[in-house]
Amino acid sequence: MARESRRTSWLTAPLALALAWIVPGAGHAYLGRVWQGAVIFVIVGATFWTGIAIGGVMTVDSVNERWWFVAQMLTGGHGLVSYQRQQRVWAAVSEELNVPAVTARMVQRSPQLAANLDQRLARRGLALTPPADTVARAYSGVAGMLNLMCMFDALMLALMGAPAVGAVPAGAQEGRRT
Amino acid sequence: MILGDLFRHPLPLQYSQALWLILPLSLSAALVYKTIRTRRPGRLWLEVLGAFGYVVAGLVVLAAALWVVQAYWP
Repeated sequence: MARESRRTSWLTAPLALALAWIVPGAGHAYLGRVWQGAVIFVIVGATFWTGIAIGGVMTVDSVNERWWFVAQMLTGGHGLVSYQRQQRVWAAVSEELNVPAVTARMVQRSPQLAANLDQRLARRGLALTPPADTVARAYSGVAGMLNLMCMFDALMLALMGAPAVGAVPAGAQEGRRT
Repeated sequence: MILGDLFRHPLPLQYSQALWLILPLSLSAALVYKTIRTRRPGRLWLEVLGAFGYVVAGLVVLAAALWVVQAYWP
């Protein structure tokens, strides 16, 4: 009964959406679809971290690859952890070059700075080269797009109050009792 | 240490290897899609295999079409 009242609360849909973003699969688990949530959690996480394993820390690149970055951030916690790791690298490289924190605008305005940054990253063994860059960003970006699909699904389920997969409908239960 | 290195430095990858990496990516997309769409969890693997085959077949047809265009387009 308490579960039913929680499902119909106005807070259910935004909470399911937020949970689905921050921890892939958590939105479904919150709505009672635990096995679906577990599969989403494992597959989205594995896909994202496979991309990071292939491309390294610079796979998530908020400076040079804005659109991939947006897709990667859709994985929630996974994307934020990777973003923090990448920020640490940018901070170290900026310090070496004696420039303030590197931004996309700075790189676009100064080809010399962009070349210097590439050189520094290559020296540290962190520069991404083809085809690893494409594969790594495809994996991590697709993981984000898959999670977007799951977030949308969790939101729709919460708004419609859909029962868990395999659950016996209330009418069928009553029919069994009689 | 080795694990930290794995997620820090890029792996050396050849173009011939990169092409095969589309298969696990397609499988994960099929798995997530079918997990949220299926109404019969008992038949999930069959549905996933069907969707995976569909995706791979689509990619093969697309690749063949693009190859024909690239090879024979004046």
